[in-house]
Amino acid sequence: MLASIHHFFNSGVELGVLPTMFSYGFVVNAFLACLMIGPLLGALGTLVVVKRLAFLSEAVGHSALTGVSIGILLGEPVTEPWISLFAFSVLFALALQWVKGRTTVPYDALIGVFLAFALAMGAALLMFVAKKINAHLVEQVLFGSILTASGMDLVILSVISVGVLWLAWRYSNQAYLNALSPDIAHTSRISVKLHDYAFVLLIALVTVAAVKIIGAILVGALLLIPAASARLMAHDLRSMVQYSMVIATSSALIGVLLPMHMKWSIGTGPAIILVACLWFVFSLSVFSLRKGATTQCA
Amino acid sequence: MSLGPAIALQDVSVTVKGNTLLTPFSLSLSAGQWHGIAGPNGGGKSTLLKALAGLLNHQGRIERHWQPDDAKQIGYMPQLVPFDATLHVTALDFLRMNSKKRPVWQRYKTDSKLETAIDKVGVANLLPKRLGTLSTGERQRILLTAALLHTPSLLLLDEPIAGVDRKGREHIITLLSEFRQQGGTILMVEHDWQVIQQYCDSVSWIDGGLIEHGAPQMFSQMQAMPMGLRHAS
Repeated sequence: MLASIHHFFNSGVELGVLPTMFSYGFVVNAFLACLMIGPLLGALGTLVVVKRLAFLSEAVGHSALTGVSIGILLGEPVTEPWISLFAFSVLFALALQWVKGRTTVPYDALIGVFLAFALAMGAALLMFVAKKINAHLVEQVLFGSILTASGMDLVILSVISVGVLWLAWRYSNQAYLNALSPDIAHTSRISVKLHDYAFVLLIALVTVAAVKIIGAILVGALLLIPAASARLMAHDLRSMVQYSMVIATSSALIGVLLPMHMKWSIGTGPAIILVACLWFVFSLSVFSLRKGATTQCA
Repeated sequence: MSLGPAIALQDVSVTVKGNTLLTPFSLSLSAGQWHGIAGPNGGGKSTLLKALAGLLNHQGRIERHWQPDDAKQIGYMPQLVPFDATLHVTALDFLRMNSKKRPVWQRYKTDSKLETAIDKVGVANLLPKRLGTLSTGERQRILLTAALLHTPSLLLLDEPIAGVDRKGREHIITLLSEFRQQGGTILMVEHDWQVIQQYCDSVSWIDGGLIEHGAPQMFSQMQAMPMGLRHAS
């Protein structure tokens, strides 16, 4: 199937409809990956913002560093350490939630502790494995790369996308209600605990799925910045979800394709996040203009 | 709507982190009646309501005797939920979250249950407003709409008319009276003795445990005293 998609893009290039960079298979793969991770991160980011857990996505993102390093140490393929990556990030997220339910430490402080651990452990292990692998691979892990999205990655991303879409269709109302008022959610027979665990688990899965394109350092930012920007422009929850998805997807696409087209030698992760930051500045301007107009009317 | 449940509490107490909020007591509340919960501030009224709603761990037994054909739906209205005023979640968003019909991120299509509840409480004009910008009274009415959404037969209400203007209070009281007439059971934490005397079938005086339970008339001597002095006496 992937071969026929590549063929379709090649035909587009031959007909002059698409830029020549789409004749490269890895560009098409990265393009398809962005079409999946953008909406995923954008939609889930709105829940992160409603729950005020921006820090959580950063912590889980950084845990990917450790996951990758453990994978390389255990002998998994350097560019596809999926088992360790998923296993460590999911365990990390579940451990965070488990400890939260058993301590009186405020959640933000607890996330701070876990974030520091993830970063320190990841950095220590990565320095260790860096001696065994090509230094460019370390750079890819940290900041993502357009070259790394393989057919297998796209399959994993598709499975996660379909799963998240189904969950969003079935349980998003409950998830938002739980985020706004756990008491009301509980009396509506919604399992607050299950939702809290499912939330951190989803963050871990989606983060890991996106880490190869965006990199471990910045993946959490694509959960946060589009939703924060959308919050400034939206007038209700529905428009916030829509804006966030559009901003995340467009940031991912522009961040991946523009440096390639312009032959700029920058990592995809930083490029994607810089585009997302431009969106944030735009949203801030829209918000300020609206606020000014409202004040004038008053 | 089927007849609401009777509720039986046996040696119920609540201790949170070693701090006893309610000492053990037993209490029987009849089905299909309006029960008031009164007492001084900090006496444990909301704690009792939360324990009844299953939101707090308790010791002892709480039994709800539902009717055989009952859907066992509980409508819960907490006390003054704080909402982030800057968050773009409208009252309609919030009500849609309580509905199981269609994801809130999809375009709104007619939901007969939701619209019936909105019409009943008369909150159609509040729907586009952000939750965080609603006045106390408006917020209470939205929370009541959410509580009534799934046609419950048991309502647990924590000061439902606190901060509501006179017209709004009358409207809410009328709705609750109708609910009671249709056979629903209501448990309501309330400070206003006039409301308790006029509408409740029974009152439980809570102050670190159950102090007294009976018909509102039993408590008539307390009516003239402010809540704090009643506790002291």
